[in-house]
Amino acid sequence: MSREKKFATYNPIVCFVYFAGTIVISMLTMHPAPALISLVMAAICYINIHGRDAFKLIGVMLPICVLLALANPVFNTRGDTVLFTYMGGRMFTLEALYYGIVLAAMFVSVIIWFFVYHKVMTADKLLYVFGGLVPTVGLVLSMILRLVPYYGNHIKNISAVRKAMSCGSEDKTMETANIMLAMLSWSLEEGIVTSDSMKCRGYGCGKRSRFSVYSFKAGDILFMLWIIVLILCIIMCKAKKGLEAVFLPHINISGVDNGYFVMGLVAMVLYFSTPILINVTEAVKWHFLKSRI
Amino acid sequence: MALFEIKDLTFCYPVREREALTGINLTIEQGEYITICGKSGSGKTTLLRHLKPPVTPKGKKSGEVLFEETPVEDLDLRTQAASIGYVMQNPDNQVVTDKVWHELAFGLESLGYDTRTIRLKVAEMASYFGIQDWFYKNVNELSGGQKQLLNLASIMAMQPKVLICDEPTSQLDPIAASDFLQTIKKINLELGTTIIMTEHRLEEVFHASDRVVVMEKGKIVACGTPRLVGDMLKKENSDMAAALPAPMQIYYGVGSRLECPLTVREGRSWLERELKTEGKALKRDRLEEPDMPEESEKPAIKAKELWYRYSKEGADVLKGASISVPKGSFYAIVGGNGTGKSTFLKSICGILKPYNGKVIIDGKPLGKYKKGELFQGHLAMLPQDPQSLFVKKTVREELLEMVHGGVSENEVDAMAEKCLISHLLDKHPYDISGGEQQRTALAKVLLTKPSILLMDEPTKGMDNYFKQSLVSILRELEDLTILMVSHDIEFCARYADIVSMFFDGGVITTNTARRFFSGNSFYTTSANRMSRHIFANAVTEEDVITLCRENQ
Repeated sequence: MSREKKFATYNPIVCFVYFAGTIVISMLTMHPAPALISLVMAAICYINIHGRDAFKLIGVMLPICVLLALANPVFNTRGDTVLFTYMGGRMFTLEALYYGIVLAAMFVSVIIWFFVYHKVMTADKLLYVFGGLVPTVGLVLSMILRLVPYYGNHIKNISAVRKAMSCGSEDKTMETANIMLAMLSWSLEEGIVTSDSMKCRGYGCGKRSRFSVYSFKAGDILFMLWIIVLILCIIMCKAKKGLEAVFLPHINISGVDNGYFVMGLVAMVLYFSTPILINVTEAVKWHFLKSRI
Repeated sequence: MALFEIKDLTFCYPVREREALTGINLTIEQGEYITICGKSGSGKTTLLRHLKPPVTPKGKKSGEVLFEETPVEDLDLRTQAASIGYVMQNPDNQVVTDKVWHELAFGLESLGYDTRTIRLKVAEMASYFGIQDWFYKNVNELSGGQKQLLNLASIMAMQPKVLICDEPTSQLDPIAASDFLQTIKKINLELGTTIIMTEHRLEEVFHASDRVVVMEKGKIVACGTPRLVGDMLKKENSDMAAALPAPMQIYYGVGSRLECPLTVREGRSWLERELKTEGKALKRDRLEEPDMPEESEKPAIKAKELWYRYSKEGADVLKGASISVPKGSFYAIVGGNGTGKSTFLKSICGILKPYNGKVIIDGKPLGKYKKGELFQGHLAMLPQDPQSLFVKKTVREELLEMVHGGVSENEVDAMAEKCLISHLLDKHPYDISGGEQQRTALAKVLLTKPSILLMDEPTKGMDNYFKQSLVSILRELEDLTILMVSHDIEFCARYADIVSMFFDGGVITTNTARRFFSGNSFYTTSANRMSRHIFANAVTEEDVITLCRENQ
């Protein structure tokens, strides 16, 4: 992991909690401000983590966003302000459009957050998060993660070799069945050796402990506290009706005149921008450290 | 107190008549380095498996095996796991988990150590074995040599008193194998861990061992220091003498009275003393060598400027590789790991499609062959892993699968006869030994009646005896053109007509086997390295012996 991608090096449990929070907050606040912040931050974060390739996804997501926003007023004709009518008097209202925009922003931001999540939370990190609950399941998952590419490779080998011998049946289904049968006996054979190797290394001689390369460092605890404080702020803001938003039939959303709203907004900006804040500070720090090398 | 004491061990597999082990007596002391050698099927592996309870085969057993004066079967799971380490042959299927660090910790997790202890031990092992650089990698991304080193490290993390290795390098290329064996030697010297190893690449282990045990048909026929065992094998004219390191074979071949050399270094000085070369010209210092055949008009295989890469953004694996294989020749391509040799072979037979370049088989471009036509009677490929050819329940069904269009069942029987597998026809292809699997695969491939045979590492994991039988099968087939990719320098030097060196995605140099190997100074046979300061072009042990005799 390069130094500029510091966020991904935090303890997977903390990262997991962070993403769970991100997605829940994004989904539960139907308010234009958080939706917009979430969308923008998700996009920036994805670009920061994924680099130039990120624009491919964003290029796909933008039209979806626009389409969703425009689609809402087509299906929902409520709202006071009529922008225009079409198809013999069907109304296209400002309020419905506005609602559609917020909905689309929320929807797309959650999708982009999932992509960020996918980039950061690799399979072994997930294993660490959930393997702690049931160690045996953790081990089995780890073994499966090894076997999938290993088997895939052997299937490729068999079919390439068989093609090069032009043996086997012309029928594709029969040929696949042949290969699968061969795989079955091969994998059983392999499994025996693997289980021998496990027993040789003491598997089953008592309670297993669990080792992982991740540990809780001071930074992880700080990050966790930061998440908790911000989430508490957001919950309080929500509880005190600081994030109220009614779109239909006319727009009534809480704004900057509401103190709780301001608090919630600040908390959300900080929350959604955490990965980027971490990565950028680290990059800046690294820039100065590098100049000393 | 002896570490292992084997008393009168006799063992017979169920439903077999012949005893796999007969009256084995052996005492192994703490800190010894013991090599057990013998032909395939001589009972080496069976003996090793009796030293480690979880892999001990079931069957009729008498006699006993004591580990520190306790019978091994009475050891509890924990003690045997922690104090007896066992490394198996195949680097792939011993690996359990998906990450290198997890694999290193696996044994310690089983023993229930806490995270802090495991962290320290894993760090120690990673540093000692030089694993830091690939510590976070997925296991699938490792090379065979790295995987085997990982298996070793994950066992050493438990700090066993004894390390048992069952042909640990048979699936590795020579460079990885030599690295692995040096690590074993280092463990023995620096940590005092007892080593018990079976190995057919004696060149690397013979001189390092304290004692060598030779097995034949389930019995120990010789046991003692390397020199003593060499003498015994020579006296009895045993088949195993052919597996001795090159300096020893030459020594016995010449019949010298001086002290027997074990390594190339000792061999060089021995040769000087033996021939008394100082201040005296040799009667003859070179053998006749055939000229490089002219490039023929119609070669069996011609590849022109092949370029290939696995993915669009990836690096080129083949960079303008060209070759011309004359009809009826035995052509070998040698070279290091990852230089693209196997890719080249796959491109020639059309499994991979080069993005640029041309392949011409029997005077006709590869693309002009109709589907299936190429692999009926023209080209066949013997893959590296013979198991990837097996899809049926018995060897016979395996061969009968090839019966269609022009191949009759009689031919199947004849082919089985030729490849020495007639007695195995009713067995499951996974139940026969590695060498037999290789021959079954060869029989299956040859049933397509190819005029050109491509082979990818055909001698991997085979002992000398099996190599000889492979060659005698191939020699019986007339007019067969063979193109082989191999790491096995000794094999290429002995049997190939033309040898090419593959490096950095292309063929660097091509010559007849003798000229090729006598021209190299590192990438050549041990017989050549031992004699190159005296003889000009001796490549095999026989060459050196012949020249020695003429100069005596």
